[in-house]
Amino acid sequence: MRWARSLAVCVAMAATGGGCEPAVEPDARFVATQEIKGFDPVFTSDSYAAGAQKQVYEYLVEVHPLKRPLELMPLLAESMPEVSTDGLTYTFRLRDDAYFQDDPCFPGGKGRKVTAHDFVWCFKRLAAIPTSVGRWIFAGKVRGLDDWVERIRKPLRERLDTVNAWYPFEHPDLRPIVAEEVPGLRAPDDRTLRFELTQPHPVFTWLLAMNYGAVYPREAVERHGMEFLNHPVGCGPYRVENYFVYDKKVVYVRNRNWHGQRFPSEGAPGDREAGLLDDAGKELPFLDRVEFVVVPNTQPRWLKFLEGDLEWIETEKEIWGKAMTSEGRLTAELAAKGVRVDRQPRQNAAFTGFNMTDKVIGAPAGDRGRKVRQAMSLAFDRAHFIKVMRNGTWAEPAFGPIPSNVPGYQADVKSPYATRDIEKAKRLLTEAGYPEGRGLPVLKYEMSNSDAVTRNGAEIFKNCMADAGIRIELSSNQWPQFISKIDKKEAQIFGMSWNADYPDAENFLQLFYGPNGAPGSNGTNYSNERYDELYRRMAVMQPGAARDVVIREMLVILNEDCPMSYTDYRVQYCFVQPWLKNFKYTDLDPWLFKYCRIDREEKERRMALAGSRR
Amino acid sequence: MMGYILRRLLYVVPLVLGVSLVVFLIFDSGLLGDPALSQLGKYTTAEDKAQLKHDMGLDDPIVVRYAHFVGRIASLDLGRSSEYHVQVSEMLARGIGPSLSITLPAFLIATTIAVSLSLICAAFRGGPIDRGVLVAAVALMSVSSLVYIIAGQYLLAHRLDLFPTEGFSRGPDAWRFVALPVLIFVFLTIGPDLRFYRTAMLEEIKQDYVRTARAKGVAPSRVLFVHVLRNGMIPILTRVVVELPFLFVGSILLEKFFNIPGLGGITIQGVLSNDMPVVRAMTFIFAILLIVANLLTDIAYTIADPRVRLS
Repeated sequence: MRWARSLAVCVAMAATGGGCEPAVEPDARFVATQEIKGFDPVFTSDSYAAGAQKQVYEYLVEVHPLKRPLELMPLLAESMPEVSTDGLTYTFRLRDDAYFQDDPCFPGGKGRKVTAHDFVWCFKRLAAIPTSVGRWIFAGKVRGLDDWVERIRKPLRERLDTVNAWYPFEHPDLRPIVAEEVPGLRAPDDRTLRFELTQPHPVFTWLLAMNYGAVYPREAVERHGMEFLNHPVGCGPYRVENYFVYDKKVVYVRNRNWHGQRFPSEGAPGDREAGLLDDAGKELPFLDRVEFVVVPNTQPRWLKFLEGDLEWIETEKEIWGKAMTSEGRLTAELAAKGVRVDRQPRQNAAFTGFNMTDKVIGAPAGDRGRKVRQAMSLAFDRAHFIKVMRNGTWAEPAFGPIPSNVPGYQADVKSPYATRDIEKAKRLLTEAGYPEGRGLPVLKYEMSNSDAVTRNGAEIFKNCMADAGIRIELSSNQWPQFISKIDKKEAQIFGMSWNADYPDAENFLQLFYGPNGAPGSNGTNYSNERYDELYRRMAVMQPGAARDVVIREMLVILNEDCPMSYTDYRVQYCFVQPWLKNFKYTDLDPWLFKYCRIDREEKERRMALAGSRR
Repeated sequence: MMGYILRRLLYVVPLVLGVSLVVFLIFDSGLLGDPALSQLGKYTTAEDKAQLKHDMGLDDPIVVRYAHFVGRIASLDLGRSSEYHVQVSEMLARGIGPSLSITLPAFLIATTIAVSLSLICAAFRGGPIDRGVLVAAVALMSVSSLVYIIAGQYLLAHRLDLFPTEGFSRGPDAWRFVALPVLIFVFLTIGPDLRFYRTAMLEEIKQDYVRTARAKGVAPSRVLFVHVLRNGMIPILTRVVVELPFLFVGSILLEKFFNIPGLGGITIQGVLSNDMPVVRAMTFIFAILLIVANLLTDIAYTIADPRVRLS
């Protein structure tokens, strides 16, 4: 029968396009719930792609894995930047021991030293390519960069490959213009990188910690071109051994050229007691081989976690019911397995947006429209929503657009329309000329997806509105269709949430800035001259009492105009295997494998107890 | 016959044009979202959007846009996925193996079992074996595919540890990952197949030539496996060949739940994310496969039944 088995293996390999090497078991396996869309930071903005990239690429600074509120710490920079007293110049001094991973794109295949000029090239590429999703981090902020972008766009467009939608920034003909000096983005020497801003931008350093701030070698883009997204070349703790988009898996192995780093010796209060500082001062990374797998469906993801195949998983509605008792404790099965729960507030605000260009509920309807929006906000039952949709646990009601853990949050300014009051809602409807909702047309609520969970949430909104006499029609969409409706200002009412790009109130308040209207981030198309003026002033102010005064005034305006009905601020619950050490969910960087350690003895003991196959 | 084949192949042109027009109109209408916007991210402006549309030729007259659309198909340049930015041809090349690794063995197993059982049912028609098999077939058909998948994953994979819960491997251990989906696929398809083939065999077994063969003393097994099976091949071939194109596009549900990177998942993801190049490629390929399958059916008829002539 041996020949039959060999034949079966050959057939399987031929059919699947596989190689001859058997799969090597990784040290750890982490999970993403969406496809990982490649390793080119210019074209990827979602958290899974960013998480995948952050193992390979490095940045000037990174988010501290333990400290709360979130803090930045130097990574490729020797120290935090030197900022001029006027807040306009940021000077970074780079560490001297950072090398790119070995790759055929380098002469002799040997990775070379990372220099400040690499950052300049990468940031210019980010800013210049019209389809770059991260160009906003520098647009309008860096002195002379917009002018330079204007200059390069024309030749870049002339070389556009329309079949592949590719603007070839790396094209040899463009080298002279790419090499032109931009006054606000310069590398005076190999180890110094200097930004000159057009105006102060207090969160500028945070922008550089996003996945767009990655440094990679020009040679890699020149060699791989469009395929760079499948062939990342970085200087981080890991290199990608095996990846092709839609293969549902990225395999990482330790990058032997990495400069090295030690586990932080400081954290937030309680971290030491929780064992999160047990590895303080130890050399990173702890894992040699890691897999980042994509498992979009909840049931297999949950079963794989139970089998010990995944190190941690995020909770969601379906999982919560299986993992927790009605008293909010772990089930006996999970408790016996030693699973622990990690609870961290997220920098996320969920809301129901009202289209301010709509003739019935928007600005054209004037005071009547405002009263209808206020009535809808009053009619919405946040407590019920949280009970049903977040299991009453993993969210807190929202009274404003800024989550309570984000710097700039104003605890004393709460929307007077964010607490359910049906009588008041009816009164406002009557004042708007729609007593008991009579005369008010059926309003359309656009759902962001067609799945059951999204529909459940929308049904709650619909039923709450019905209590006040407001009739709602639900409209099902797929995500691109939904976004398209918002961008075309066709969505009348829509449910959505916003994840912070950086931990600052400004990132939430820009959602209402007039010039950011659709297709920009201001999906409600809210526009208020006074608000816009205050926003412009606030955006360049350093955090402090004076800025808080401005933010409070902005919130009061927003609360009264009510372009959104605030829903909730999410709290992240993660289920963590007992053998995974040093894991603490960090909202902006949930996947930093270099800090994670697997206690192998613990794992073997637990797996033997569970009688699992691994 | 060659003239017939060439004529049938020429039908590809109007068919692909028709299919491409429908697909183009659906995607171009913007009902499923704006392809230009999906590339620009959340911080964008109306000017950026307009400029990108201009650069990509998305603001050309609709006839020009359709001509470009057809031109891509004609040049066999499938372009790049607007969602993943990789070559569609490479996505498809990597997806076909995983899809076929489930659908092909499952199809072969299910067809073999269904045809064999249908012959047994025909031989013992009306008896307890026939009724029992028929009831089992109807029962298999009555259960939702999701039940098979969830129960299979939970009981056979998670509880009994007979298979991996999900996933895929391109290495020599691929068979471990496809075994459970194949098993479920067989369960899903065997019921309707069996009922169809049983009806076809019963039609044949009632024919005069069967009675004559029996009267002449031909052995029952020879009557069944030589005479009845041979003459029942026309409906079998029709069904088998028509199903072939579907094997290439994979099983959407199984690929989704078992997380297998096949063509079914790629197609559905392309539709959901408004990924025009992927959907265009899959539509085109599927249309071609359907035409080829129909042609193969016709040719197979002539082999199965020498009385059939193609003209």
